[in-house]
Amino acid sequence: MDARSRIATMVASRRSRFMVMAVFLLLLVAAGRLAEYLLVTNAVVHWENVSDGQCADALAKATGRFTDLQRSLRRTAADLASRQEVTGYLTRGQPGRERLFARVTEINRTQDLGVEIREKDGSVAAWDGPEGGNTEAAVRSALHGRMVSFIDRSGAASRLVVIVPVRADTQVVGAVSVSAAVGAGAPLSNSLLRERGLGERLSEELGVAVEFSFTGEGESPRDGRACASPLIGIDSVRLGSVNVMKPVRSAYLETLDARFRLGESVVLALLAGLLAMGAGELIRRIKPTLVRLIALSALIWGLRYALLFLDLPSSVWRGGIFDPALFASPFGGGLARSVGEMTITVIALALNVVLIAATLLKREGPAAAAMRIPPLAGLPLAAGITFLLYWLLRGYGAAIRSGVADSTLTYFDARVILPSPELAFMILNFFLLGASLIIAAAGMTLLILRLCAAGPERWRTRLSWTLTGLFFLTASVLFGVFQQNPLMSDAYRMGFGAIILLITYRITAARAVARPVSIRRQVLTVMAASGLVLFPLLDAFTHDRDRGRVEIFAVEELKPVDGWLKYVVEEGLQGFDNDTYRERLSEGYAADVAGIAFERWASSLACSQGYDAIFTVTDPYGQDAGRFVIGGSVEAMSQAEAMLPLGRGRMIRVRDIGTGVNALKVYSGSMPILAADSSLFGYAKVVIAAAQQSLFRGETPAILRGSSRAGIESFYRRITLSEYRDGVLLTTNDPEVPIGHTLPDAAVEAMSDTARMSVWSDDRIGDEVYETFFVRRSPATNDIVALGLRQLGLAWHIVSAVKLLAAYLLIALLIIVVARVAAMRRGEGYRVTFRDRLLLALLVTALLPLSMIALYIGVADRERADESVRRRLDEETQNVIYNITTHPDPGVTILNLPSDRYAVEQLASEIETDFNVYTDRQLRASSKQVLYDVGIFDSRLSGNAYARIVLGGERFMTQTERVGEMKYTVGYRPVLDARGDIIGVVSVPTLFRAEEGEQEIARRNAFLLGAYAIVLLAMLLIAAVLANRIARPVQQLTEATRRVARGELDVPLPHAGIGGEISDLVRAFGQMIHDLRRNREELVRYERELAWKEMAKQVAHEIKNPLTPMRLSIQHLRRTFLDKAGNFPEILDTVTRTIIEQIDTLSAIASEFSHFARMPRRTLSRVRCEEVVEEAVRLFSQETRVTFETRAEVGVSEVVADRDELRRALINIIRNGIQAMDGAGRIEISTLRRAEGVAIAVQDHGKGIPEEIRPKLFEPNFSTKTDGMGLGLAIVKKTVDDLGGTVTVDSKEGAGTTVTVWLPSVAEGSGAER
Amino acid sequence: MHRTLLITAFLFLLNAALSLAGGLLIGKGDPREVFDDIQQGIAAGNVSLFSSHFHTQVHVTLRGGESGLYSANQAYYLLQNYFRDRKPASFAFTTFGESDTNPYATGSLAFNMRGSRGHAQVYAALSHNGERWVVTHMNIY
Repeated sequence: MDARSRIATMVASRRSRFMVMAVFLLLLVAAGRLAEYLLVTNAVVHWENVSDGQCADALAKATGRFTDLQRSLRRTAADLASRQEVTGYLTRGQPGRERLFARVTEINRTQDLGVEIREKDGSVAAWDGPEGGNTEAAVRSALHGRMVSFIDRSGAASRLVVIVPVRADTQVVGAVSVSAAVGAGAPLSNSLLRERGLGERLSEELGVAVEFSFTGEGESPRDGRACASPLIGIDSVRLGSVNVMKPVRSAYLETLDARFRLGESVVLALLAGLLAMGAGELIRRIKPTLVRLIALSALIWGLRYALLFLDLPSSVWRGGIFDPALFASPFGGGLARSVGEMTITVIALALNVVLIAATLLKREGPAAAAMRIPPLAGLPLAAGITFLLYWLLRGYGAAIRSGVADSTLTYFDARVILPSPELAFMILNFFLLGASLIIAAAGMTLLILRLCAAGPERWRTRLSWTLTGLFFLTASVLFGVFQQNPLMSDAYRMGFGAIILLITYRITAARAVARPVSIRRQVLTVMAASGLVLFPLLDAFTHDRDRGRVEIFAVEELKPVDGWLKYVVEEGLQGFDNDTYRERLSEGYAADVAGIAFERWASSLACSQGYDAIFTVTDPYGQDAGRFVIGGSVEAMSQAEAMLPLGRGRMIRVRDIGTGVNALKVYSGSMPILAADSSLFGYAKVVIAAAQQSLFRGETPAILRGSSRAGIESFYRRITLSEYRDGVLLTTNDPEVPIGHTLPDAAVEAMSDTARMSVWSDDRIGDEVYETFFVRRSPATNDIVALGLRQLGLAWHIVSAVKLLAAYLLIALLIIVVARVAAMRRGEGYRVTFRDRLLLALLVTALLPLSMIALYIGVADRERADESVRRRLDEETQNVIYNITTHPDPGVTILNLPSDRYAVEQLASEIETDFNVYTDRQLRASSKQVLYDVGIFDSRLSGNAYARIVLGGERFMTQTERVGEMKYTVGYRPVLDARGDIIGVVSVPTLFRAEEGEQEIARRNAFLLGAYAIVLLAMLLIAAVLANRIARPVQQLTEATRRVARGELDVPLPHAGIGGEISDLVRAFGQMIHDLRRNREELVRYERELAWKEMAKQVAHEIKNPLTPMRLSIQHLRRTFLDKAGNFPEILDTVTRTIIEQIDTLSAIASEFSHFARMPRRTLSRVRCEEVVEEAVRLFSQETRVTFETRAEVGVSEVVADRDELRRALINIIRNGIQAMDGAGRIEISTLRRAEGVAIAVQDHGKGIPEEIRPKLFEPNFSTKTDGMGLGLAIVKKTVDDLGGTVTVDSKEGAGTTVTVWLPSVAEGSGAER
Repeated sequence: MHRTLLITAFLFLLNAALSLAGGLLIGKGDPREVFDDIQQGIAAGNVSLFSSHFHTQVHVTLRGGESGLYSANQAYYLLQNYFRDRKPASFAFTTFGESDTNPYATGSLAFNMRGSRGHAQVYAALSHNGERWVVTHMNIY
């Protein structure tokens, strides 16, 4: 064999493949280390080159990306410019502006681009999306036939604008402008705005800080800390530059090291997996069960900890289910540090538990068998295990509590129907934990039952169950006494005990009759039990967490912390100390400087936390260059800002304004912004206000709120905040709480103790009950603040249950798919029963119309909701127009808007509607002016609205608009003058009522889903009952057919009163059995006669055989006597001996026939087959040359038989086997569970039986031996037949014979004695 | 029986080990000591040096990361992840706010991230909980 062939052979073998892969992986690790060493050495020695190279690569990619974007915009613009409707309108005024608007709106909607079409005189013919900024010069260039691009910096985000000329017959007739954001839409990120700029996206992608600068002509050397490349427009004009920060050497080396460690971890994880597979193969060969199980468990947990040690997959997959912000527990040193890690751990646990349970169940005998352990030792042990079981339950409870307390996941949130992937994984974890607990608990209960199974056999089962039940009851009560914090109620523990006892009883009952175990049923039972044990705990712990959160909100948020707020101001100021801001200030581009204040605020802690704030940047003389104001305490903050001194250092001031409930603290700070040479660019000022009631920062529009997600505002249950003085309501944020409402009696009583600071109490307001936390503002005062949670209604709970059910169904589906795949891999098909088909058919029949109705209702409901929004917007736009045209305050009439923005805000507050007013396409006033000031929204009227209202003459319209990821509806209505001419357009957006919308969705979900859930459950139940009722007779008939086919004619038939075709079938089948039985009886009678005839013939024949030698001997004796022979005495002796021998033979023949014909009276009882086998084998103990091997399968149980008779039959079979082996060899006797019965297989390794004589084996008098009558196997057959069993022979000449006796197992409830 | 006894003993031992796993934390009486631990922990990028001082619920705010109220265990892992991405280069508290009820400290952190040097302001605030001072706020912004 040549070398290549040897290698091929080696690789082909499994073990060799393992080794080759392991060596390859080790080599990979070594290669990684070497590569890292080389890279690090190179970086250390040639740092400048490496640094420059890194920069150059990143610059090339960033520049390329910008160029691609520009090219794409040019393509879009050129495509639009070549459209016929564009050229047609611009040249001939046909086909109309509406068509232009439609086209532009389509591009805006599908590509999120700002689009404008300009006429030859530069006026805008159609537009949609953000305005292109100051474009006049660029438009003029385009109208002269040049394509131009530039950066618009007037909005919140920098936009790249591309303008191309529109040509018709080589003449320029207009221009098309297309723009896209290159910076983030807004430099803040919250639930509504999640956009990221090109620079941010590239930074994350390339792993270095990439920044686009559009501040001017000069590059940004940043003292040599950055490298830069110019950005060139399509008209070869410089647009700005892209800067990449040069890497810091230590940081670069750390990053390099981290990347190599990550790669190494992945390789080592693969290696660990490979080794685990190899170890698994070895462990499978370990014989002692306990050692094998321990080794297997060690392997599973070793692998789990290896993954944890290698920090996989958390280091690769950082977000989603591996985000500790969702859940993190310190259990096991990090085994559950995220939802994903917990999933891996519980899968390992479940695998471990299932493997142990399956192995032990397979190995152990019947459950009720007593252990050979004295009751005095067994019972305390059983009690101990029971307590241990309750400790396990507490451990489960602790895990669920951690899953709630250490988590920000919302388990009962009716606002969303389907659980999020993270929540679904968490529920999967809970399910697997519960399933593991239940399997372990059932196993322990079986152990307890065995330890309790003392006393006489007939009482054993009842006694063991009684004792076990008592242990459970006692433990469930005493556990709460001994354990200070049992985590669950006595009732819950008792319920758990009952569930476990029920499951265990079902297992033991099934095993007692050796019924085949239905895996599907077991899984369903475990799933149902897991849900039953989970839901009450989850509900209780979630309730506790809600209360805990409210208490913390109350304690932490009610009193502003000086240190914290000063820190917020400091952080705000610190952020101004930034190279980018310095550059922009030095350049002095007004719009750009004005934007600094907003950008700084948006990335500050003040924004993140949602404080009312003023951020200002001034010139060196203290004049405002940029200012951003947000929140409701503007006056107080402005006063504080005005009094703030500006100096060379940083300073912070605190002012108290007002007293009592309306007390306000204003924190303000200022700081100079200095250049590198200490020259002054200007000043930064930050002011924040903290009200006593800082819980609700409702003055800040949601879209401008920070990313805080666990704050009280984002709590899934709305919290009502109220304040009481002397027991009477003073103020509240909930309009449903009536003024004059008094403290509930329970709270009054509790708080009458002045030392008491807080109490929980229910508070009924109208028809609603609020679960309220009352807390004293300070000791010895009667000012009480109340935080109330509206109690969750039944519908809400139903939605939660349905969500849980949905998650469970998904898990069940997953398990079924896995099981199917596993079965298919084993080559097993899946048998769909009649009941399954029937159930499926019923469900489909029921669900199809239900789904259609649900779909219809869903669509109708959505339409109704849309219509309701439309109607509301219709009314509100009318109301706004009425108010702005008739309001007595001259500051808010349409003609002079926006002379006073605060008056507009005041009006919006009065009519409870946010609105915008446009005149001449531009925004004139807004109740949320700040959003337009900072450029988050476009100040120009939507192109589509203009087209439909101004051009199309519509009197009202709505459209969906988008900001970030948030979609909302806006209603538009024209403002008409007395002549009916349009003088403006009013819009009302629903954006600022997201909370209202969410509550509405929650209510609708709760109502609809609750109803569907009830109908669905009812349908499932009815379908299951119907399917069972219809399928049961068919199943029984099938089983009866199977038994008849086996020769059993005494089978129970389904109840004949079912009616219909099935009833006819049952009757026909019954008639057929009756006929068969009669035919069989006749046949038996005939056979019996035949057998007797045969026997008589054989008896005669057998008797004749010894008679002939007797006759010959006597004749010989007579002749000798007559001849007076001399040796007569010797002959006499010989002859008489012969005659006696023949008489003995006759006697033996008589005995055997007598035995065959008259078997002793049977005494039937429940007999354990494995015990009878042991007794039979014991009788052959003198056979020293024969080895016996006995094996009993788990679950093999009892049959009804005459113990002695069965033993004799087995002795006959065994004896035949020994004789077939000439008295030496090995005999294997297996007791197996087969087809609702027990099979005893006796296998010898003898000569085997020739094929031609096998059919005669069971005939009386047939024998291949010289001794014996050949009745042994005939007796065996008769015995087995009489017991309703069968006997079969399987033989191979030269290899041996297997005789198998099958007996039906004891039916449930059958008597022991007959 | 032998096997049963072994299994039972194993389960008892497992249970005892799990029960002993949760040790009691010994608190410190002086807020300065807690701040010292926090300072050392942040400078070393090792959260376990001060995580024992966390209150059951901690307000955590991280720039570019999470912000909200988290359990002590979540706070530990959030900060651990934060420092895994940002290797601290230097850190020291520079300001201490003396307060009977809510002492706090702020400081400046320099760290390495993705090959670059970054800076952040750290704010930590404590509350008195029984016999010990516990961390209620941890902000790195």
